[in-house]
Amino acid sequence: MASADKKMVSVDSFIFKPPSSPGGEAHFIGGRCTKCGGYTLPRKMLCFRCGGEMEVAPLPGTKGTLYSFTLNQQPMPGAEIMPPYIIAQVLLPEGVVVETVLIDADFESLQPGMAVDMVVEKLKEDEEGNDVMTFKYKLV
Amino acid sequence: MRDVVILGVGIHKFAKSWDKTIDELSGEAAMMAIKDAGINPMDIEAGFVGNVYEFAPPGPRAFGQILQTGIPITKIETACASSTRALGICYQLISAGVYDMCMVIGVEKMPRGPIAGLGAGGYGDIMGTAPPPGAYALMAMRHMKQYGTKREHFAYVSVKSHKNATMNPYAQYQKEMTMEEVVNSRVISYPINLYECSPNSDGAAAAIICSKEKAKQYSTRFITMASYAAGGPLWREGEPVYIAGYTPDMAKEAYERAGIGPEDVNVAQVHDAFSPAEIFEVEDLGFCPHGEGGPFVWEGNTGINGKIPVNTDGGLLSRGHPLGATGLAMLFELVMQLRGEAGPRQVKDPKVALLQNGGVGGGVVEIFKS
Repeated sequence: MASADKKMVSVDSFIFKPPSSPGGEAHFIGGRCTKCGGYTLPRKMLCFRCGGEMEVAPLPGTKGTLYSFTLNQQPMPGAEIMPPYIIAQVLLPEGVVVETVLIDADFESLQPGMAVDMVVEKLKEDEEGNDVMTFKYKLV
Repeated sequence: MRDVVILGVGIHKFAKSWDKTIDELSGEAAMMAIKDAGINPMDIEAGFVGNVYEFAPPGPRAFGQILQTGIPITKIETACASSTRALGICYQLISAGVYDMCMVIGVEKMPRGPIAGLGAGGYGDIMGTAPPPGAYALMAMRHMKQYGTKREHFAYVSVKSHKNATMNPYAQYQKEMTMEEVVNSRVISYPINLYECSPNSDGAAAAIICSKEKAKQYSTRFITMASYAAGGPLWREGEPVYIAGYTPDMAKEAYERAGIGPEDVNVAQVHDAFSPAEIFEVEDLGFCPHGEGGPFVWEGNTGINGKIPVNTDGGLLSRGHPLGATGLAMLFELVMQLRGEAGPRQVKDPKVALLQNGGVGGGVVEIFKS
């Protein structure tokens, strides 16, 4: 495939929209309640708070804080990332928690509440030669 | 509402039973329960099977060795808590007068190797962010940071569990494990090591559940099922989803329905799929305040001679964890304890027992009285 035809595709198009071009913006695909304004990630049909209908809402994902974290040493069947790596739960300003991989961090020094930011990375190439893009986080 | 009792229980030893089918595992546990209850199996009006992995109909297969009377047989699947959810549904049906006698069989032959991730086929499975021990490790790390719980507190749960299992002939592991062996075993997801993960097991367990009136036709040697509470996925603002339901809420409901409090419980079975879980559960069930579970367990309060003995049979960690059979194995142990038939692992004269079974399909809390 010619590099001009190469596309950036999402690791999980239900929850994550990668940049449409290198250096572009990425965001999560969340839901916002049309009744109470609360958010879910990923989007749900109805709001978990009040039962109102949800509409699609982009969540920037750029400002988060660490909720919890673990250093994973066990390879998972079918997973693309090999241990050791830090699995982190990141709390986003919209009140939702997303599980992700925390990179470039010293596990021993991590504390809940630390500020983190999204990093968009290529995870692998798919069968058609497209770049499969994913989201990870790093400390701010 | 009618009183509901457990009239008989049975179990097939938990182990890696390569050479046995689910039909054989179920048949042995079911026969033991029927003989234990002393019933005429023709009186069973409905059958339920707790099972996760079997596609070929596990219901008719599990009951296939013992009866074909045309009764409805239904598979209940709530992952690790399948058979106790089935037990709870029997409790409700019998209590409401729909049936007088039901039988539940929990059975599982587990796939080999680590069980699948919890990412539901999405990015979590592709990135490897959703391993089951990882889910417990994330909770454990938060507990450590929030309350100062120590890594050794978790390891001690496994040490205690292995010791108890040496006294249980139905347990998969019957070997003591030292603190050094646990903390030096391979790290899976920090702070959880290999010997702090429940093993893949094959096994079965069964129970005969009756109305009290029906049970009296056979025996007075029964255990009263005093209450049942169940839960499922619960979303809370700013927190990860509670997949198995929120244990403190289920416990509150179960205590209220049984007319007791946590201080009245003499022996308990909790869902220790990974070692930190016992510490979370003793807090969630109200045996000690939130945040104090680590020291509470470390000081021996959950030992067989402790304030509230927990997982006297070795728990999931050492008895083994064949998902669909696990819940009824918990019941089996509590019935043995309440009857005073638990042998060397017998708790002194228990009157009230509590069962907490959790997992990714929903959870239950059930209370029993002698």
